[in-house]
Amino acid sequence: MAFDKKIVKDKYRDFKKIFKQNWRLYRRNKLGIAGIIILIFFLVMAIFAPFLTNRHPTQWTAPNKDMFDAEQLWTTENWNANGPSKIYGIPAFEKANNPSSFYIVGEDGGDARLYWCYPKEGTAPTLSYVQLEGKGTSTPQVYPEKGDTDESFQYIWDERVYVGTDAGILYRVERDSANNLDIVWSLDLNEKLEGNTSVSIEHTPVINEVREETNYIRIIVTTENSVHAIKDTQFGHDDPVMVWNQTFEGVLDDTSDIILNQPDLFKNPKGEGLADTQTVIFTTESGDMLYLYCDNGTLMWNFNIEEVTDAEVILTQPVIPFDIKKGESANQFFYTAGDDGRIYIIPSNRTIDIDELGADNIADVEEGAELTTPTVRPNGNGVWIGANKMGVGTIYYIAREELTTAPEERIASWNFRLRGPIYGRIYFLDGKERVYAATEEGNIYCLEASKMETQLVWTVDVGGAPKNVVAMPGNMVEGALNPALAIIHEEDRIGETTYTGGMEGWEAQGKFLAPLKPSWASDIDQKESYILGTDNQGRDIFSQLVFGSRVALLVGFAAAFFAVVIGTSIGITAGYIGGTVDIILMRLVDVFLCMPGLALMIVFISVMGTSIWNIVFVIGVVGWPGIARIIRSQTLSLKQRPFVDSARVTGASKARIMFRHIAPNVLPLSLLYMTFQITGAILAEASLSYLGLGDPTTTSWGQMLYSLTRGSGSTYTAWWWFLPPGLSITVLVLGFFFISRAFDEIVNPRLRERRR
Amino acid sequence: MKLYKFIIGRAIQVFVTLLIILTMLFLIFRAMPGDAADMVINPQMKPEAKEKLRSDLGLDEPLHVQYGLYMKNMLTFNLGRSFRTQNPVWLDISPRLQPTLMLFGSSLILSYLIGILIGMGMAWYRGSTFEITAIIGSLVFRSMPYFWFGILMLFIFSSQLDIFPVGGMKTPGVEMPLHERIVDVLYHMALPLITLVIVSLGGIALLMRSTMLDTLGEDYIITARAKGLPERKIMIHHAARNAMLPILTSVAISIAFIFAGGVITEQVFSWPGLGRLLIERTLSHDYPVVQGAFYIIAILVLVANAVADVMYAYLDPRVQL
Repeated sequence: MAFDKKIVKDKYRDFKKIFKQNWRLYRRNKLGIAGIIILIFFLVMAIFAPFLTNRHPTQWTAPNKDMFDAEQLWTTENWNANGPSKIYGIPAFEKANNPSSFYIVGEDGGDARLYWCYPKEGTAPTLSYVQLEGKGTSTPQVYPEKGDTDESFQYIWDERVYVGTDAGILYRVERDSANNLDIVWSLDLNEKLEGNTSVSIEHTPVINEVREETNYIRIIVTTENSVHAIKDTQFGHDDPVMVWNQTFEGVLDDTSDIILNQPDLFKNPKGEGLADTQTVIFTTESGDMLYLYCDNGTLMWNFNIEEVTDAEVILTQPVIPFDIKKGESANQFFYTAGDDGRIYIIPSNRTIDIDELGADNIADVEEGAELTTPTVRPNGNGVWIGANKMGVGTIYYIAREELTTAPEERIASWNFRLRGPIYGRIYFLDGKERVYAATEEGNIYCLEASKMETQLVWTVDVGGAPKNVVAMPGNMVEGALNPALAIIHEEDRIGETTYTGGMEGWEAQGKFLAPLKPSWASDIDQKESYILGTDNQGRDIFSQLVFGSRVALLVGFAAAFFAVVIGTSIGITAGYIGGTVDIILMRLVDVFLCMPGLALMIVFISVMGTSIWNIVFVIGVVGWPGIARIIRSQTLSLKQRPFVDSARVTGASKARIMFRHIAPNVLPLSLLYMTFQITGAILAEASLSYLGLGDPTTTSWGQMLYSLTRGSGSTYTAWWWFLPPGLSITVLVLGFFFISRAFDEIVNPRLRERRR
Repeated sequence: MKLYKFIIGRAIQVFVTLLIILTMLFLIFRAMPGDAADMVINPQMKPEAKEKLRSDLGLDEPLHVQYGLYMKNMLTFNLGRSFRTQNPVWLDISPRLQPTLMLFGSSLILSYLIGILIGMGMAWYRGSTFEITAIIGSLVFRSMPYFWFGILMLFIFSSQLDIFPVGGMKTPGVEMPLHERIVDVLYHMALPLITLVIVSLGGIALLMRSTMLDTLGEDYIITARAKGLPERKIMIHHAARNAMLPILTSVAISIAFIFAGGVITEQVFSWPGLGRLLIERTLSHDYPVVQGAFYIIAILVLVANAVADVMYAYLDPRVQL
């Protein structure tokens, strides 16, 4: 077709005239003008988003420590020459005598040493050590445990520490009044066991009080694939006696890869058929659970989780809530987590009955994530767990009302996302309601966590190497009332259980870091200003709000356009062709119209996956029927007009009539319904995002509210977090409502008349 | 006798619609590109178990055979097994029915009652501050995402004023006699109900206002005035009564709206209903339950619509049965 300047010019003039006429009509509607102003406001926001804020909407931008220092109390760097050059494992805190001191295994050239350490703020700690045979050792076990002793017994029992080494030797060590450490006895397991001459003690020994003979305790020691019980006196320094040992080779189907995890002990189960018998529970990395009598090592039951899950699962060590260990709760169960992202809650007094372990005892945490060992509240009514997936660690808290079964909804009460995978496990300080975790990148997080919500109290970056973190129950420093924290820098990893490095103690006090109140509403002096504060991940709310406008407008326009295109074409087709086609299409429209749109969108998204274009598609697919019905009725009336007849007479095809003659005439109506659709699309996108079905790679207003309610539980305090996105959605949608009403008056002159 | 025929006709229509919905579900869950088995068979199963289930469910058959089998299963409520709980899907769904019906039913009734009253007032006191406030209020509530309104309600009434609980349907772990239990459930239902009623109210009120404005222009209103009837009587017995009939036709859309709003309201208030189940299981990719929950919601909506239709036909003598 030849390019004709005149035609273009004419068209332009026509268009200008139409625009002027309609603008005159539109202008009369004050609300319509308000709508346009709102739209322009948000458009500017969306287009110039990067210039309006210099903070990244999805990254941590809150201060790390510039105003909320978590104070470092001591570090191994100022330990004296006596101190270890390297440290292995996790410290074990002394319980009865000096709860601020701890035992830790380290080395100063060559062999392992057991250190006792009493750190003081600012100065060198009190240190003493004893030489052990072997390179690596288990974490020491201190006896008696604080919770086991009441005042009168506390000083009668000799406090001692048990530690095993990779040379297969178990030590009992005591600290005298001059703080010197002495080996009371050592027991070489290799000598006691026939045939197997190179066992290594990898896990912390667990202590079992022998009930019938009150003067004795039993130490349960784990080597690679067997368990040993050693009897020791509660008073005095008699030699130990090996009572029994149990190997699991040949007991389980899968003997090749039995790797026992750290066991946990039921102190006084009073369950049916188990009265007053003490038991120890093991898990293995191949998914087995083993339940043993402490008295004689009899395997009471074993069970592979595969029978429940139909898949191979690597289990973490079992965890028994403290009150249950003490026998104060009638319900006996333990927790273990799998690498399938689930927590399993296993009743201990079960016989081997697979059906009994139903879905009630499984809590989904995060699909496909690798879970840390669960941390359970002492009374068992809540579980913390870390989930690592794709380089991101998330702390989940699952509140539990019914203690023997999984929570009804089996979804975490809150979660908190860390900047890196969680290292080790999560520690909880009872009474303080504080939760500590460390990432492999070396950040320590301290969260204050209640049942419903969590807030970040402080975070520090302790350097590049992987870290472990332990919350200390005692008073770290004299005069300081708050518990402190010990950290081990892992510099070099030998095997699976050996760590080296230094320690630091951090004050556990601190001011809330996130969510951060807006600067103008905060009584804390902030170095940087946050117009709308931050969320609990330290992300700037204002930046999220600004970038969120992009998603809202994009999805609003794209989905509405999509819906209008489908709706208009189907409406014209049904109206013009008529007959069976019309009946079928309109029946489909009826079905869609009486369906709850959101539920349908959820079903679509569940199958298609969450991406922004899927959301656009789904909103369009659910939104077209209303438009189709209106366009159809308009087409029915246009069909009778003379210009359609004349087109048909000149031999135009059906398609040509539909799309060249009818379509331009229904266009104003389509445009009107597009503005109606935009409001619906914006609300639908917000709803889907709020439900957690939004595109995870974008920032939208709905997602801000999602992370508020599902991600943090700060719903009920952080007004600066939930007000801005909701208000923005409301105002933007209201703006489109005003615009569509003003359009409506142009397209339907009848409305204008009634107005007067 | 005629009504009886109408009901049968409507029932057949419901059934046909249901078949269309099922076909749609089949297309979504089975005929989408990719391995359909992922939607039906628990991915955590062992390969042999998977193969067995695959042939049991006929997933290797051609699509039309699968379709027949699918329709048969769905119509006999054989909805498969949940990936997550391993229970038959129906077992997961059935305890969620009662809470959903309770919340949705009461909010439907309440929002209609209050919506009609407000709409009536708006039309009658045309031009007053009441009308303008009500119009602006309805528009604002329609523009507001309802989950956000729910969060706002929680913030004000649970967190700040501490009047209502933050969620759930009953106080956990407490044994109570029956009458206290009922009070407890109502106490927990208050906030979600208020939220749902307020957000669905606006549309109904605006519709009532406009139909009432139409009837107010009718001759019989002038006649009634001329007769010297009291204003209140004209408003209620002449204008409102006639304006209400078109409102009933909007029930179908309102039901869909309340169900859609209810799904998300349940989520905000942790109400243990079907909508929450749908969302929960969508997030954990438990496809059989997602499908089952949607199917049940669809049936509820269809039946509610049909009942509304029959009621309308019964109430309006002009409708040809």
